[in-house]
Amino acid sequence: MRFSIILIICSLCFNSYSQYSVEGRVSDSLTKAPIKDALVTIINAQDSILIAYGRSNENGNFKIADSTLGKYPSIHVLISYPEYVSSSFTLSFSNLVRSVFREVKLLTKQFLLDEVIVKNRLSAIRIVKDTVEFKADSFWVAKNADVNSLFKQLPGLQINEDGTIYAYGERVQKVLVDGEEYFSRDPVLVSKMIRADMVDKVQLYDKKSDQAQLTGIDDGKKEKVINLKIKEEKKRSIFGKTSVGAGSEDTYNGDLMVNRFNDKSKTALFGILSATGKVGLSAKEEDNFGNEDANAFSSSLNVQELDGWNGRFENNGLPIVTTLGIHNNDKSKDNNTSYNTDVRYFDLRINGLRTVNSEYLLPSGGKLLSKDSFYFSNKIIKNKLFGVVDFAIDSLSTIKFTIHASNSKKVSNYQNTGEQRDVNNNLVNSFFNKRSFNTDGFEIAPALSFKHRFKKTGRGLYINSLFDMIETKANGFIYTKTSVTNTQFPSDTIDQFKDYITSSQFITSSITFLEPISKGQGILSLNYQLLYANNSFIRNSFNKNFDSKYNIIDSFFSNEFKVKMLVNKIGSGINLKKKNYFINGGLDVDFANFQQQSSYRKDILNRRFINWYPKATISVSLGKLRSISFSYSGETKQPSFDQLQPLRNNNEPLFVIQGNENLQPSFNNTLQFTYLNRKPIEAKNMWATFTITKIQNGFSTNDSIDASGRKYIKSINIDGVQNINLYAQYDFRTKVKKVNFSTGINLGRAISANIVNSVYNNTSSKFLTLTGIMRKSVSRKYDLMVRYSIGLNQATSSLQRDESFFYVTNTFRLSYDKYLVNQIVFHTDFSANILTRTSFFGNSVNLYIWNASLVKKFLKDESISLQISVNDILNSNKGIVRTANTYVASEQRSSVLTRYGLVTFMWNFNRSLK
Amino acid sequence: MKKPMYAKLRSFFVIVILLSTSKCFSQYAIFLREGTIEYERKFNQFSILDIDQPWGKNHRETELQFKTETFILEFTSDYSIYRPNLKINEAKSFYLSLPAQDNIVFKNYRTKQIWSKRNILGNTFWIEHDAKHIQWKMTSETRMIAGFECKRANALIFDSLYVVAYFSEQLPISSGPESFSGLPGMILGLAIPDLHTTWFATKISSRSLSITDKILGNATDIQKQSKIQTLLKEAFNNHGRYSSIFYFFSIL
Repeated sequence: MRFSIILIICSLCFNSYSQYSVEGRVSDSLTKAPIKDALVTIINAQDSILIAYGRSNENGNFKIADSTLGKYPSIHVLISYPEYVSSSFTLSFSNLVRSVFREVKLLTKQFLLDEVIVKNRLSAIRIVKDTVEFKADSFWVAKNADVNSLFKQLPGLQINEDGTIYAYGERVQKVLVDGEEYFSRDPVLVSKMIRADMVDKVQLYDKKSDQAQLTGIDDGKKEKVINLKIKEEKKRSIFGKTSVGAGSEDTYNGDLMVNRFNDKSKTALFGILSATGKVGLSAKEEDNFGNEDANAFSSSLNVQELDGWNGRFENNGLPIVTTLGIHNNDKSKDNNTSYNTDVRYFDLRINGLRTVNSEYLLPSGGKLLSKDSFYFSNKIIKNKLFGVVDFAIDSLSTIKFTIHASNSKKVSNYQNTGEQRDVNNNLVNSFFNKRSFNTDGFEIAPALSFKHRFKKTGRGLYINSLFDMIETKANGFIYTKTSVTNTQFPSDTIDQFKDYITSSQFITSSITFLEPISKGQGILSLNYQLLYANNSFIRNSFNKNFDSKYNIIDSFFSNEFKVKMLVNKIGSGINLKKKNYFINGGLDVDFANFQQQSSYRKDILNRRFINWYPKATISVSLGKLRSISFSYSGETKQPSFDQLQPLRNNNEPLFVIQGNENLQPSFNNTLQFTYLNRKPIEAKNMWATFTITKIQNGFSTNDSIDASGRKYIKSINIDGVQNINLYAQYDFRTKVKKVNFSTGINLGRAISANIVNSVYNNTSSKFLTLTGIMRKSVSRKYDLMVRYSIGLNQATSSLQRDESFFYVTNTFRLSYDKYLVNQIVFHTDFSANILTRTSFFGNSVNLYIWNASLVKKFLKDESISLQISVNDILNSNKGIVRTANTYVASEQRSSVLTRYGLVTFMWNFNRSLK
Repeated sequence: MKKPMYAKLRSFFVIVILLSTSKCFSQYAIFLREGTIEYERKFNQFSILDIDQPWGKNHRETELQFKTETFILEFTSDYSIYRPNLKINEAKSFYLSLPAQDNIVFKNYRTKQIWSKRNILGNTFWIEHDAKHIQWKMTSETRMIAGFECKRANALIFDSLYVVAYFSEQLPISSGPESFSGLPGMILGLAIPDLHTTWFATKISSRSLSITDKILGNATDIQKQSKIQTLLKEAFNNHGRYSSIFYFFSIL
């Protein structure tokens, strides 16, 4: 040791001119054996020009000394060895740093690529810092396949049935195209639109939060992102696909997707027309508009929709959907400004029948059984616009302007007949309810943000402003007829015209200042936010006049309401990142002034709330991919105005909401413990989360049900609500047959509380779910997936201790794809759901759904294909949903599409632009 | 329970075998430090055929588009020698003899010196090449050549010729066809688009030869490359539109 120090000193003395050196040791990451003859190449980071090279000796050591190394601002050092994954690092020399030593551990490709057929092993996978890069051409996919099929081939990536992408067990939040957002962050849509053969590289990495990017200091908030690098020669091309299908039971499907890439400008267009209930691409249709900060406050201003339909499909009824979208992405020549626009049209029509059977447990052994059936016919047309302009003023400051706008037109009609019976099967009441409504909505939300980094590393300023205006106009007819058996209660008929106008404006601004602390290892943030909201609700109800015109105002159920809210929020947080642990803590407090004004009744309600939001997280990393974290968060929730003083309505006469002016804010405490251990090379993942939630002063309801079956619901504060939950998952792959397994356990207990007819009710439900998934796929041959899960559930209500529900759910699913000869692909999937009988759900229900399809591809490039598919071969889909909570258990059945056959013609096209 | 002796022995052997195989497994790559490479040089002769001329048109119909010749590179860890495979090449005649048809290039990597013997327009020249430093631009592209994985590097030589080279790390010798060198491995593939020519290794054997610098023994009048370059520039000046191709072939 001493000798070598002397040597170094000597060599420093003799080399009077500046000599720079890169030294290191190369070894196998698994066997730890030194690697001899590994090639070390030093290239200029700017233009990849070769500067120097060398090889490692018997002990794996290498030393490259060169006097010219210091003149480059930064250099890349690449270490490679045949059949190993290359490793690289970047460094810069200065007068202070003249020699660098690195331990280099190389990974055999054997380990990384065991399961996939790889054409070109050398550069199939590269790991550069935190990014895993896959060379797309190295993995086999069928001709004309989309990126989704490519993802299935990449080690570590998983695709769920609904298209959700997981990388090493974490959900992928965004799929970017050449680093740019494409179709507003909808990973499912992007993965279906882009062709696999256009992609040069797939890069997988953790995107840091805006704050971490601004300050350069990690705050532990990350999201998984996939970036698709498009091949140079495909950057100017037109490509897409179209399909047309028709089948029995009046089913049809049609879609068209066209993409045009022209260097820095990317345009996409899609259109879908479908009557098969597989709405597919519009699954993420309802994106949150505006800013998350504003949404948090706006939830306290939410009010129930007049027509009871939120404009979504939700597996109820038979839908027909038409959707069109255009996306454009442009960049200025100097790359400083980028434009992103997204326009969508959405048209959904649903007709159907839904029946609901429910059982209400009442104190002292009573029960109420209700039966409802709804016929509905709904329609919505929605237009949306989304635009972003990003402008970099200089290297330190950026401005971002965003605009969201939408308008919608909704027509909903429904007819509801129902009855309620007591425990002896005597009729309590029966009712008929008919409504038809037109709703027009409009929203515009522009936002502006400014980010500035200071020269001092870590110091930053972040200003955000948002304006959001929403206006909804609804009007329609309501007719209800209620007959009550008990003559002490009135039976009544309502026949009214309703005219509702809701308008709200939000304006909010926030400013965040970040300052580095603890020698740049931590960051202190200070923030201030001001929010002002102004809402007005006009609710007019008109009764029928003798001339059959609805022009007599019903003053009891008509009102004009104004709700104003002014919130000042201040907060401070701290992030500290040391070598192997990470601490994050903070406290925010807001002061909310709340004013509710009723113009017709001339009363004013003023409330002030102070809301606290403490949080703290400690995470310790045990090695690179293993970590433990512990977090606490507390949150004050203020009551919504609807809970304090609701808008009186008679839409459902058997369901009356009452206000509670004395309602106090509730406080939610959440403790969470997480353990993560990932071994991507061996396809092993293990994680566990243990969560305890306890709510003080929680919001619940005081329900009183009178002898006529009418329910009065009033919000109250209640203690005793808590949840305990343990979730653990372990994924692994067998060494011999390369079969992937995933096993999971979900165990928990939830306690909820409410008051039913002045009796405190405490419902405790326990559940245990065990899941096992097996996957095996052989390229060009077959893909097989089998999943089984069993769930044990028990719910006990303190109202009737002996009436405890116990039920078992068994779910089995099998999916199999087989690549046959002559360009034929066979697919089948089968799922079985077995719901056992309970004291309420008297019968057990077995649902077996079996689908199959056959695809034949034509032409050499397989660009044309014909598919024949049969959905629900056993004709047993019933659309059943069972739920049990507090003191109500119910079973819902809705009309769904059962067996049908479909023939689809598909065409893929691809042309490069001159 | 006591294990029988043979079971113990067996487990011992298993461990030994496992240990030794794991060692082998991590270090199984083959490195060639001595051997012979056969290159196939393909020249697109249609590129220099004048279709306006009657003979040019005629040749297009009778000749193959690519003229193929083989060259042999013998190398040890100190020297390499590149020369035409006369046995094969002489059998195929061509109406036009190219300047670089019988180049012999000798490299000494220890002293970083390169000499070549060339027949240019009927004269034999012994040239001592300048220690030229080619600025290789490394890429991550790879391809298989003669069973070896090669990496691609690009360069610009003589300020105007674009060169693409594929080299293999498994031949840790900085050499290649003609006077090309400077990469961290043997160049097994070379393409010069402006000269319409490619060199690709077709056979690689580990047959070791005893090359020494004795080959220079019969050299007379060794001239500097820079001197030859000026001489040739003038000589090829009146060679018409393809003069630059001939000129570059002479000094490669």
